[in-house]
This record gives sequence, C-alpha cells and structure tokens, in this order.
Amino acid sequence: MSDAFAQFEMNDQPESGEETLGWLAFRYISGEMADHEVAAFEARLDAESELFEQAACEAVARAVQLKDAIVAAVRLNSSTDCVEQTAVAPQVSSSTNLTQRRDLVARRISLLASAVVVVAAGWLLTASFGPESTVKVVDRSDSPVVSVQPDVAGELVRFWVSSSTELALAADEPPVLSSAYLPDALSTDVPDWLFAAVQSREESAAGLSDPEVLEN
Amino acid sequence: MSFPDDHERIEPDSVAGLYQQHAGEMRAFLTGVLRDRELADEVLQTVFRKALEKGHTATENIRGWLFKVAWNESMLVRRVQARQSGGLKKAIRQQNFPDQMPEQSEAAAVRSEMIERVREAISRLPPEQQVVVRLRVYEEKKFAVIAEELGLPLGTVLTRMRSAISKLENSLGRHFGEC
Repeated sequence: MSDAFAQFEMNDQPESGEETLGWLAFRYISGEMADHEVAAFEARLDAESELFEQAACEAVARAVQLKDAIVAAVRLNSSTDCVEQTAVAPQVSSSTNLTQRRDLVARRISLLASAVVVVAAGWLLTASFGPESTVKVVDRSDSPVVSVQPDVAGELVRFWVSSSTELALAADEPPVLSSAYLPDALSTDVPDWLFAAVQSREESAAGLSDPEVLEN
Repeated sequence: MSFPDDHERIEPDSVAGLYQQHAGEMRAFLTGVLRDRELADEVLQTVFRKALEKGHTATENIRGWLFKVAWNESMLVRRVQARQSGGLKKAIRQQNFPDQMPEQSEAAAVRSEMIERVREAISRLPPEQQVVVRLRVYEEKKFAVIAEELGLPLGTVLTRMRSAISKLENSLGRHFGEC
C-alpha cells in the first residue's frame, strides 16, 4: 500500500461507524490497506482478541458477498449488452445484405444493358457492312463508289417517282411516270443510278451472297 | 438456528441445517480472510466437520461460534501457508473432508435476487461512481491505478468508491448473509 493511500486514509473522516466498518472490510478484502491497518482490522476479527467484533466478521462476509454480486451484475450487464449488440447485428447484416443485393442487381442490369448494346451494335454493323446487305454501285462517269442498301433502293424509287410527279404537276405537264407500269417510259427517263439500285435489290433478293459491283 | 448454552454438542442431523443457514456467510468470510475461494471452501468444510465432531462449545450463539472457528482455522491455514507456501493447498486437500454439501436452491434464488438488486443499484449510481466500481471490482484495478487512468486525485477515487459501496450495501439490506 502506498504512502499516499495511507496518508489519505489518516485524513479521511468517516461519516458513520457502520459505514466505516463496511468500507474498511471492502478495503481489507481488496488488499487496499496499509499493513498497520490490516493488523488493526484483523484484531477485530480475532475471537481471542479483546478487540474482537462479530460485526467486523460479518462486515467482511458482506463485503465479499457484495463484491461477488457486483462482479456478477456487471458481467450480466455486459452479457446483456452483447445480446443487444447481437440482436442489432443481424439488422446491420440485413441492411448490408440489402445493399449488396442492390449492387448485385445493378451490376447485372449494367451487364445486361451492355450486352444488349453490344448485340445491337453488332447487328447494326452486320446490317450495314454485311456481305448481303450492300451493293457497291460504281457510276459510269467515275463517280465515287456509293453503298446502297436494298431497302434504300426502294426508297429511292419511291422518292424519284413522287418527285417526278410533283415536278410534272408543277409544270402542268403530264407526269412522265404517270404509271409505273410503263417500262418504255421508264427506260427512257429513269436515270442509270436508279436502275443499278433496283437491280441490286432484285439480285440481293434472289440470294446472292457476295456484293456485286455493278458498272453502269 | 441457535442452541442453548448448555447444549455443547451439535446433533449430526442439525449440521445440514446449520450448513444451509450459515455456509454462505462463512464462506464469504473465509474468502475475505484467505483471498482464495478454493481454500475458503476447504476450510469451510473443516469448520463444519469440527462442529460435527466436537460440537458447539461456546457460550454465545452458533453464528458467533462459527465465525470464531472459521477465523482460527484461517489463521492456522495462514501459518501453514507461511511455512510451506507451495504445498499448502495440497496438504489441506489430503485431509479427509466430508463431501461438500450441495448448494441449496433457495440460496441460489436468494443470490440471484441479490445480484439483480445490486444491478439495479449500480444503474442508479452516478456515472462517475459506476466507472470506479467497475474498474475496481470487475476489472480489479487498484485505486492508485484507477486514479492515474482517470486523471483524478486518489482521494476523489476513494471517496467515490466508498460512497458507491455504501449505497450498494444499503440496496441489499436483509439479503446479506443469506447466500
């Protein structure tokens, strides 16, 4: 026991005899007494001593019981805290799982979207540059090569027909192609590039696999 | 349980009742004196064996007589301990102790109630006292260490602990000595 402790105890004024006995007993069983205090206190425990007090013996027993009860109570509180923490843990875990599940779903959606984009891009590229989809048209007058899709050829025909009709109507003249069923008229007035486009469409429809270069 | 002064011997049939009534308090007392629970249990057996063999010879009540025997046995053990510090427990265990009597369910129930009362009493303590109680009793730190850790004067720590012990003792009341 330190001198500081002994000095404090000498200056410490007890509030009551009973409380002092309980406090002394607690310090005694805790080993928190100076040697001279131990000797003095044990004299009160010794039945052969004139200073013997049964109350001191009882105080020692009470102090031990109280100490045991405090340890058990604190341990109980600690275990209760653990149980509460354990009870909270699944909530944290479930929220974590929920977040993880959301991340997983987001990743899957992202992957799926990426796959869709890749497939769509691939399909578009195939449709644009595939072997059966394009026809290279070379103009007779050394015009640059133009890639024309079969559907585009149909569009060109329809566009040319409607444009010609509008022009004819605007000029109060009978349309050159009043009927698309007049091959003679077509043969004279339809430009070469339109023939090439239509021909390539027909060939493509006939099952040609390789693109053909049609020279006008 | 009390005995008339002229009744010097304890009937064997009464020993079990005496044990049930006083063993908890005697065990606590012996633990406080010896600072060793195992040793205290063994000395407790000696006390009741003597009660059975030699009987109650004191003029005071049986409780006081048991405290007296318990103290004397503790001092005997201490003296032996001082001489043969290493082999004390072994030497004591070699004695022919009667079988330890099982803890009564009633005592266990009282103890549970006592723990619950202390638990409630601790929760009512001011936080600064709760901290000191926990550090000293549960974590078994010395007051000087606690004072250093908390950055408080030793006297403050001791005052808090003494106040807490007083409150906790009061919370137990009649439960002392029954377990």
